[in-house]
Amino acid sequence: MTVGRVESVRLDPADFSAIATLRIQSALKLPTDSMAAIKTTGLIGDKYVSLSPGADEACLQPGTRITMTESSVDLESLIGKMAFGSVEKETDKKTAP
Amino acid sequence: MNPRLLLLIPLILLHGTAFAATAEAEKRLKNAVNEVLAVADIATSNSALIESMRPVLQKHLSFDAMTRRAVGPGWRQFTEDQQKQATQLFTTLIIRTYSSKFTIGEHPVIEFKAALTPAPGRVEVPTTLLYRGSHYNVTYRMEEAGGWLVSDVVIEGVSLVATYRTQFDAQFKKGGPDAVLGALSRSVARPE
Repeated sequence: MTVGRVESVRLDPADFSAIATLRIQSALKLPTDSMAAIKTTGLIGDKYVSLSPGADEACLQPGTRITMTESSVDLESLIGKMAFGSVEKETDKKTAP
Repeated sequence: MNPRLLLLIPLILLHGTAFAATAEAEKRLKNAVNEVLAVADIATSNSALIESMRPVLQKHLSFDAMTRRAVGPGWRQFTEDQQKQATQLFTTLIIRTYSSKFTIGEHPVIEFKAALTPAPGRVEVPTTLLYRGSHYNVTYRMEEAGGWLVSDVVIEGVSLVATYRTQFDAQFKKGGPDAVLGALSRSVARPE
């Protein structure tokens, strides 16, 4: 179910990672080891942030960061690797010890 | 002394501490990877590999943290004995699953990239793994707990802990700790 919204997304210039600011229901207490993942509704649907609560006793406070995250899985890239992996194979065999 | 300089000194010290922590975590991970590869290189069969891999992985992976996080919020409803049993079963499951990914005689090539420090006491080390002709992006999440230990492995953007959390959470909702332990026991009992 929907428990909040993504308020903004910005780029961290230090490491080029995306930082999303979420506004979630104040009654929702998320343990500090909760995880956030970018998921897709169906195969070609919209993307959303999925929050998965952890097991820690302590809870995340407003303004703290969820650092255990999963990026959006690039299905096209994975399918491409399975289908066209042979291109990498030929190149890589020469460099592998 | 210039007040700006006074402000800078703690910042420099903090940066230096973070750098030292990152270097220590990276060193620990490289040692772990070398030990794993050394064991894999001399293994003659998959069952022998699992047995020889166990002490190496138990030395470098934080199975306690991984199990607790994989179970998620339901963990607090486990008794101490159930937590111990879950940790033992999950440890066996991970060691067996991890070992089964190795093909005897094949040697992976691992390239370490610049480590990140997402939070104090935590370091993420991205790597590229070249194995059997294919490239994989593997990130090791490490935590400081009296020494740096691997607490999660993210392969092609998919977290090991998150993957199991989804499965265990579904089991927990069905039947609490017993359902999770039952699912783990069945997975471990399944032939390799």
